[in-house]
Amino acid sequence: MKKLFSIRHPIPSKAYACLAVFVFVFLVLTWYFVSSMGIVKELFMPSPVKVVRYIAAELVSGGMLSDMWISIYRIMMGFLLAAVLAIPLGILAGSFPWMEALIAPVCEFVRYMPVPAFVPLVMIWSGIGEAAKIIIIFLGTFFQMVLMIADDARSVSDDLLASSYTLGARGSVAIRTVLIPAMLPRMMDTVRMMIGWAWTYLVVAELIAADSGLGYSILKAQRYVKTEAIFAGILVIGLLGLITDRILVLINKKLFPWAEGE
Amino acid sequence: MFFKRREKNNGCSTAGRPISAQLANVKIWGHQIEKVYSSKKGEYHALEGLDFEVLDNDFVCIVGPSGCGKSTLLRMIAGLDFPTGGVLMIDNREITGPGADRGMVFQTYTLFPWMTVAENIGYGLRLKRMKKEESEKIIQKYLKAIGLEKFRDAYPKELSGGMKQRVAIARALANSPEVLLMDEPFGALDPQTKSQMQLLLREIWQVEKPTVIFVTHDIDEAVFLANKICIMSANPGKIIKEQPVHLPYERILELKDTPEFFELRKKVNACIKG
Ligand SMILES: Nc1ncnc2c1ncn2[C@@H]1O[C@H](COP(=O)(O)OP(=O)(O)OP(=O)(O)O)[C@@H](O)[C@H]1O
Ligand SMILES: [Mg+2]
Repeated sequence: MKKLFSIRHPIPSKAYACLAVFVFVFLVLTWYFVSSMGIVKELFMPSPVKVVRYIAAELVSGGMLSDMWISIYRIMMGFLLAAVLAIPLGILAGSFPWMEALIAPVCEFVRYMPVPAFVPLVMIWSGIGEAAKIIIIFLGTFFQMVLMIADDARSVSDDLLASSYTLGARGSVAIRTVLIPAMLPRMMDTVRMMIGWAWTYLVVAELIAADSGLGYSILKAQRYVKTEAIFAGILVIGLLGLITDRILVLINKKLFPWAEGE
Repeated sequence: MFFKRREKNNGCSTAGRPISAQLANVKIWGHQIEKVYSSKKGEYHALEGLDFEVLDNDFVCIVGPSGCGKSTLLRMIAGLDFPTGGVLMIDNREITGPGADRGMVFQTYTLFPWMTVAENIGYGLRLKRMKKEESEKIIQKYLKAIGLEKFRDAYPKELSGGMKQRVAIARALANSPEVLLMDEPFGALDPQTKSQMQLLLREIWQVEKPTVIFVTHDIDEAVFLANKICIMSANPGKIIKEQPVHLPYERILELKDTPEFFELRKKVNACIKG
């Protein structure tokens, strides 16, 4: 008992998994009882059984699958575009103070502009085509990502860079052979976090300006008061996010066996 | 142990040689060096009026209290930092920046964590675009010298502190720098490993003959390794005394128990305290 409350005392990984699963089971059971005992009307909160059945039926009929694919496609495009531009800019801003002066303050400013507020503007510019969704995801993640990547680049220790200088590296060689490899694990973590954000902005875009996708399916369900479909949409988005996250964690572990810590 | 080839004894103290001869092979020369750090709170004079001279192929130790500016001086010689006053020259040229001619072993662990031990040691050679076979030979030689052949494919995180520092030394030496700057490289090691590393370093020096500037706060270590000890004082940091070390050229551990050794240690100690 005492050990449980000693700070950072490790527990077996099995115990960890058990506790985590327990919380999920507990939440689902609570949900089940609240809905099946009629504490909340079925219309407001369908039972988990009904939601799961709905998801299964949709997967079989393929209705939800097409929504999933289009959403994933939008995420990939918007996010890749943001990453491809933000990573080099972030590295430059983290390496050269004069670059930082050019890049960081602007990003700091723009990232505080709420992205949903851009939606009407984006719709005027590009209608409700695919471009609109991609632009919104881009706006939501790009500026934040530049700043976080710059931080990752700055976090590489001065002494690590200095030792490469004393071994004959200069300028771009030091960036290529030391700064970038050293920051990669952190950078991948940043990317992982930003994909989570990208999901949020995707749904924002699809709720307001779309005629397909998971976000749109939720909106449609609201119109017909099909609460189980709303629940299903939210759950699937959550699951997709979780799966992407876990996959990236695994890739990171495989890619960077040398990284310190976990 | 590892190096068969021995050169003639030319590393002993140069005291008593004519001035011209000394000037002829001065490697690093500093005159009235000053380093001021300015911040919002005001100016801090880390170094002031520091005179400094190291001969080619010499082995010099710098000792002094914590915060007296030893690391600062070393970083300036490496070209990683610059004096705010005075002159600091290498081979009669002002130091303008870092280069492969001045290798450095840092006070902190600075191995590249994504490279294996062998890749770390070969880093400088790859930058020079040395041929694979050639660099492989050098890597192998230093792996053997530091006794880590079994760990050639290990990542730094799998090494102990002492092993990391050995690899860092090998990485610096593999580049065959003219000057080897070492900032308390054995500070974190246990006494036994420390002694072994001292022997190893002195042995490598006797063969390769780089100019070594070795910072430490362990006076025993300084006396054991150096041909000359520079003693620094703090506030402001400057060199207050240069103590030549007249000990046999071949340094063996038994030396640490001789009266000559005690005598030198006492002298240096008195100077630091006084
Ligand atoms: N970047 C900096 N900005 C301000 N002050 C600094 C900076 N670097 C060093 N100093 C100051 O300069 C002095 C000398 O520092 P330095 O690191 O050279 O000491 P040192 O002799 O190597 O000490 P130690 O034995 O503890 O390593 C210290 O008082 C330190 O506070
Ligand atoms: Mg220091």
